[in-house]
Amino acid sequence: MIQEAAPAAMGLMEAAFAEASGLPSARVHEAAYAFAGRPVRLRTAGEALGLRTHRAFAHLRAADAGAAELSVALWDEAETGIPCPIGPDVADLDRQWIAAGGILAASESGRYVSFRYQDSVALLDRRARRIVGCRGAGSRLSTGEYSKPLVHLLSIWYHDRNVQLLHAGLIAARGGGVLIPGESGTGKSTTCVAGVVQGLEFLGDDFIGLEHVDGGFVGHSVFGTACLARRDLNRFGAIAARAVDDGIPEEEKPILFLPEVFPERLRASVPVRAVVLLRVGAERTELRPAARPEAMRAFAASTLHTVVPRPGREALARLGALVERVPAWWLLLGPDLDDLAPSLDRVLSAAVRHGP
Amino acid sequence: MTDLEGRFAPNREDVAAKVIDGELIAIRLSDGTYYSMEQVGTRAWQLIEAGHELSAVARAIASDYAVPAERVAGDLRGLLRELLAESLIVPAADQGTPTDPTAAPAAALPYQPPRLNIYRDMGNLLALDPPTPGIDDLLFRDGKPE
Repeated sequence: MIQEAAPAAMGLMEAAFAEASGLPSARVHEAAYAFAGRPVRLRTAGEALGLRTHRAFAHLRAADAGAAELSVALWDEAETGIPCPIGPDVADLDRQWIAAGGILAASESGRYVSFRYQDSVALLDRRARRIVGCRGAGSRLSTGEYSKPLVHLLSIWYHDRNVQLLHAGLIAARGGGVLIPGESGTGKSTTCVAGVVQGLEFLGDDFIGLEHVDGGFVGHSVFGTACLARRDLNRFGAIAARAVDDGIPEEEKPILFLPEVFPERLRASVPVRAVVLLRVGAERTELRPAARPEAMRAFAASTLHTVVPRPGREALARLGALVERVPAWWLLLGPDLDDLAPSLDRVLSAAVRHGP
Repeated sequence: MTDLEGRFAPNREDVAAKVIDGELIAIRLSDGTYYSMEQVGTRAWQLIEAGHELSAVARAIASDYAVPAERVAGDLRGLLRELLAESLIVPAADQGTPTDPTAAPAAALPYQPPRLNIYRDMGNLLALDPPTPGIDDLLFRDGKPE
């Protein structure tokens, strides 16, 4: 019966979205994107939800390339008045896990996967390449839903296309990117924002797609957002005023939508040329070579703990190949952020000079 | 010790392992515990993975470092017990003729007993949360693009 329950739930969700988006008063936002270079369509019903959901992907907007490899449909329950038709048992999917503060559930075949977080639920059909979901109120999204919409279901969709989501920052210059792995609190976001403020290009501060292409590695931007604690934001002067915290609980981090702040410094994809490991608390900012096993450990620590679903052997083998291919450095972070971009530029300059 | 007779193999169900710059890195996927070994430990792992029994591993390493095989065998028994206790290796069925154990380059450093470094910080972090699904729990082969 389980095999029959998931398609039925998907049908209910599709019907509810059709009803919500077909209302005469519905404010439907629709746009085409390229996620890791693959055509994606995102359609939302509800003004508040539309404005918020499309915002994190603004730098990935693309011309409509026809057949999408993923189509996403989301509606706002409060604004449209159309309730979510599936209950807390998440569509009768029989395998469930508590993950990332919500519930991830999967059908026995793995074809259908859902994620429920508070009053939001979304269902992925991997064969149909379709996500349908609803949000209790688009005007009251958590920081995570606002800054990184659908991250866990997108992680599976990316995996199905041999793109591994990593918990790492990625900034770029000179046509190459520096991956910055690290767990929360290690300075990733501050480093990435400081880098873009000082002229480097931004692809992400938290989640990045990594793809092995023609013997090299390409890093893909997944979200154009950076989330910083208020005290860290204040180090960036006027930039802090651009951070968004309306409707976000006081204890959560405000969001910088970098495509709006630095539209010319956002990149969608870049070849990965180096890995930088961060260590905070140094007297002055300084670069030192890092051993490859240290880089591997940093990737494994941050990615295994943060990415849901947890990466498997294949992903870790890919990370092993990455750290063997590109140089790794320690960036000891001093109190002066002005030293940061020149240090990262030196890393890229050396990496580009010596090749992969 | 009868429990260490026969062949062993990496626990491929739950362990990802790779030698990077001469250092063995192993990660237990189910809880994120991270392991490393250098020099003698790395060589022992490679020989175990190649299908050698303890006695053959000991002879090969003794030859590499010009030390008595009995001493190496004693150290290796301790290492194997630890690798088994951590579920990094499992007993393996006989898989034919192992590769040549003398193929490694001559050891440049003096012999040091193998040591398994264990980093449980990741494992501890994961242990704070309920078990999260791995991507391997969600296999859907039809999901690959045609």
